[in-house]
Amino acid sequence: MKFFFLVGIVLVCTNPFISQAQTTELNGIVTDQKKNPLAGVNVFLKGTYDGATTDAKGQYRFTTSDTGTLELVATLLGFKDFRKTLILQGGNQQHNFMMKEKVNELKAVTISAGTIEASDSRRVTVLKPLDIVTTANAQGDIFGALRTLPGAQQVGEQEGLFVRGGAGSETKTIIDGMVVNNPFFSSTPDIAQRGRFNPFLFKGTVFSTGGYSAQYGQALSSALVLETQDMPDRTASTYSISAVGLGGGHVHLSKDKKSAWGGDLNYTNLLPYMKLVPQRQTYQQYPEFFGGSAFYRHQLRKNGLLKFYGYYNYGRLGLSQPRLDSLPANFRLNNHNVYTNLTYKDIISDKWSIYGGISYSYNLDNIRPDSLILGNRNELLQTRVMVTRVTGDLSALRVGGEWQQYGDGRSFQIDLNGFSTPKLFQNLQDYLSSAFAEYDLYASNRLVFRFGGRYEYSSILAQANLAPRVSISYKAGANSTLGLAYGDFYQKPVTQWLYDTRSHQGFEKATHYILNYQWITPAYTFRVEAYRKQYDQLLRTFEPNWDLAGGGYAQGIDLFWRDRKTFKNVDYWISYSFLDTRRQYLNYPIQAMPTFATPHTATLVFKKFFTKLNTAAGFTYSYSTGRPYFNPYETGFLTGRTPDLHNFGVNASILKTIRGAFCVLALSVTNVLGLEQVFTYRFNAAGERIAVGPPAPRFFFVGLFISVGQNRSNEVVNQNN
Amino acid sequence: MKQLLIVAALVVSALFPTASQAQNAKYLAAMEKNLLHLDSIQNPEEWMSKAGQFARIAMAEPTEWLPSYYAAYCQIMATTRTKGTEKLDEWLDEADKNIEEGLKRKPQESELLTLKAMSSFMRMRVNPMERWQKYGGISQENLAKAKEADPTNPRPWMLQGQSVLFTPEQFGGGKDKAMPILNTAIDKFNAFKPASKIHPIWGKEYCESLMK
Repeated sequence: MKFFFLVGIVLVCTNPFISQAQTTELNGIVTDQKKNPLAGVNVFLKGTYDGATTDAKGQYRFTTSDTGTLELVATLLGFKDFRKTLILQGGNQQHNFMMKEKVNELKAVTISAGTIEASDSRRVTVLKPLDIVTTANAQGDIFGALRTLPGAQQVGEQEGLFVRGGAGSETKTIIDGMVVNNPFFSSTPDIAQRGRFNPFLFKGTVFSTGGYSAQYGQALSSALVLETQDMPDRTASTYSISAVGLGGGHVHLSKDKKSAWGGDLNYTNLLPYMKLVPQRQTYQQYPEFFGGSAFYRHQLRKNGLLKFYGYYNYGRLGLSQPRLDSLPANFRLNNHNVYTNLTYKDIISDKWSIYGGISYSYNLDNIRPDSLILGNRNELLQTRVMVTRVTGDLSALRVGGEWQQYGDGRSFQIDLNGFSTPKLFQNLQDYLSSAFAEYDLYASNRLVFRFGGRYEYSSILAQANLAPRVSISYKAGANSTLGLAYGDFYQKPVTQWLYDTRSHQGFEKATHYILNYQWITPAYTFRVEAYRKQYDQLLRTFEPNWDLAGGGYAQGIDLFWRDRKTFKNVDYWISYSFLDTRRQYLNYPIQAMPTFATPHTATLVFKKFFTKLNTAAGFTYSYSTGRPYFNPYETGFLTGRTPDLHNFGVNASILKTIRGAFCVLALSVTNVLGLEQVFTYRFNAAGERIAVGPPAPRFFFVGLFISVGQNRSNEVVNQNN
Repeated sequence: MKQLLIVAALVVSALFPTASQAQNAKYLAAMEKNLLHLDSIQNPEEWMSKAGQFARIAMAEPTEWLPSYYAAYCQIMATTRTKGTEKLDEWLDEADKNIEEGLKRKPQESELLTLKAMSSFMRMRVNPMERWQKYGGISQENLAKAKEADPTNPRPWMLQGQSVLFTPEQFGGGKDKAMPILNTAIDKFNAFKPASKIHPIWGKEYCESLMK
């Protein structure tokens, strides 16, 4: 009995009371791998309150009354935890140690050569998605905004992204991994068309001006990789009314935030606008478009996301203009366009993630150039899978495959005053199968290698290609990166030529070499990139024997400077591109600078936010030297040059909340000064040279956008205002 | 014999504090010591070092939510004392982790939800134009939840008042709209009784300074 009492007392006594007398002092210095002291390290004994935070010299010092075996732990953001088992028995112990840096997604170097990223991600990027809609001259068009970046040419008479001496067809647009066959509204002679997709649909844009990833193919010059939004932040409705049309949309977020659906409807009619602002062309049918889109997103499991996006648009127009070269005098167009995309991605575990997608698109153009009746139909069905295996902190291997089924058909008739000839049909099909593998190997936070390869087989060409791609990025300083990229790129000849079996000789090829330096902070961005692109196996269409003996090169330097800080509430960027390119392809008799290239292009984009007026205003000035034009009467080939092109556009957005609705009034004018713009020259039957410019000297835009959300988050703009 | 043992145990526990009671006293003492002069801290490094101390207590006391709460609070306060925005997301990521840890220990705690609102409010500083829609939404949502979880808590009202105050009039903010909300906050501050010495009481003085 007494014995138990004693034991109890002894037990109670020995522990807390005696040890209190025995305090141990712990101290030391914490450094990184380069022996630099680390400040702010939380050093402590696990399971106790005892610990300290290191000072600027990396020193820590604390005492503990605990004894026995304890674990010393040190933690610091961005570093791997340090652990050491200690035996404490009073006295003084010194423990100096080193902490290893974690390879961290935000801090780690990323592939920079050839890549311009615009995304919401925390990483500092060149552009943000909002920039696309607030850039003057871009007119709310993704492609318009990208034309203010280095590498893109200012081509005004036709749609497309003409990158570094490449034709518009050498750029592919990809949404959530799926190729978009018709990213632009259907072509109209000498009038460039806008991109089809709303910039707000996307959370991220990667504009690759060369050397892009092995995940994508079939583009000799450039890939525009767009990623759609994930879950919306809230349920909201939007309405728009503008000089050219009406629109409305709704986004619904479910209560549990696991799913969302939405869509929009738009009607565009240029009749009122074109009645008011005289156009170069005469319209019999003013451009009219009706369209809509719908989406559904569903979160499955913890990290799985299923996304559906569907788009439909109908458009028609009819115009006449003086007959120039081979372009028709009268032109009518009816277009139906469908794009759908269903993808699923999921992070299965720390090591594995998967992606799968299926997409179908359809485009039908009924065109009546003069007395011809033409039908063009194209379809694309594609499936894509990719598996990612994480092999280190950030290193990852991606392996995937793609299967694309292209169908193209065209019909031809002649209208002889009400009597038409029988319809002639032509069809072609191509099955393109691809497989790719890409390995991102992070040697450290500072150095990454990307090795990739892509295999493609086209059934119509009955040929395969294997394209190696390599990129290296080295973080030279806290904010600077040095990048290198090399790769082979293959593309089928453009569909128009595929109707002739003489084009089925093989893929066209380009090889890219890129050297990049980038210095980027939240306030400033500086990029300089030198490149050389070698074209081989370009299709030549000399009669009677077509061949793949064409080729050429494009080389140059791209510069980009962006400054968000120097002037208060001002954000501006300057792009400059120097381009030296020559090629022989199609019917070019010799190597020459193509009609879509020019040596010098520069753009200044300026935006200022007037906080008192809640107005964002800005301008864009772009300048480019003259481009070659085709002159049937000259003795040389493509020797003439158009005059220099200047485009100075302004825009303003006024933001205001009216009864809880967030309103934006957007105003913009292109070519404010009304300078004459010559995109190219064409020749009429009399041999006279006619300048081709924009449809009207200026384009005016006035629009009101209203967003009504269910929560009142728009009450909170920011603390800095 | 068995009964004797029980008696013995009872006597022992009466005479000497049991392990858990000793631990509790030690916990309270450590918390009180760290909370002393908390709001006089000026520089971000000191706030982060304080956050480290609370984080240590949180790790040693896996059932208490207050250490996680204060660790997050200190990390958020550190961001208010730093001029640049480079570290902001990194620190707030840590704060959010501590808040989530706290909510695991005490779900639906009004004070933790208030901090969650504060953290996303601070994130807007990095780029207000692009972030207000997302983080403003998260902030408002959590303030609403915090009010619902404890209608007597003045702090969500104060934060809401602050956010309306700093919003330009054109966007439905301004002093006229903020004053009634801040007045409600003051009334609630006057009636507020913290559950213990170490429960949150901060904010009244700041609220008054906003109303001047």
